Amino acid sequence: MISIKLPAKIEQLETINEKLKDYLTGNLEPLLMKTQLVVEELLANICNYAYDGKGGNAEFSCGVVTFDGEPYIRISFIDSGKPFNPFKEERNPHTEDAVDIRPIGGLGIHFVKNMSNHYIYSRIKDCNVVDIFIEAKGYCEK
Amino acid sequence: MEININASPDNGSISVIEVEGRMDALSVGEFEEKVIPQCSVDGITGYVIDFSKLIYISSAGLRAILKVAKLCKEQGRKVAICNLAPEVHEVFKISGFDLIITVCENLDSAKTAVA
Repeated sequence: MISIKLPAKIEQLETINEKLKDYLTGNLEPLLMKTQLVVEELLANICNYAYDGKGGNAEFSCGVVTFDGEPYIRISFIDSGKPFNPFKEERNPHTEDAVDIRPIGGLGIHFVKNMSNHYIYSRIKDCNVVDIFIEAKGYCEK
Repeated sequence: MEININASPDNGSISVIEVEGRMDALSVGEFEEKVIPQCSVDGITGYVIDFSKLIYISSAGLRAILKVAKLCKEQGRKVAICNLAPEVHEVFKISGFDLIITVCENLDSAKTAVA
């Protein structure tokens, strides 16, 4: 399992990606890109919205858990920024607009929702807590 | 990320842009820096972005692609993307980009699409 506390800066993505690459090996490797994508979008969200780009810290963890008897990759981010539920505040991703009118942006949380099987936001002790579950059935056999 | 821009006479008025590696929040600045100026090069009427060596793209990468597509459309130039890996193609589908930008199976069909 990965568990690290880091500055909420997008530059930390490199460190996180290296750790994910080392962790999601063997049968779990096919889930690496999906996991990295979810993690990047969540980290960007914390940097840009929870801390308004002003910086702060975040706790990141990732591991395989069993949920309702099935294996999942659980990704968790905790930050102490302003209350911010990314799943409630999602901007319209405008996925059907033509090139010339489509706004640039708004896709990050759309990806998180579509790439994960469960997503949960909680506000606990003045912290934003986001938990993401990605189904790993078929990828955990020894 | 490596970017190789090939606007050689062999390609006529088409510029082929090969992108290798990852298009994420960390690397997308380099893509914009190198590719966006290409969108106003005289004599080029079509752009093919070859993703055969791209292994990852996030919303930050797609934002850069959308910027390029918007610029080209404003100037009446065509853009096509080709050789998407299955994982990258899935990101295009979820975002709806496969519906608004021409996505081709290979380089030749992409060149034909922007000719």
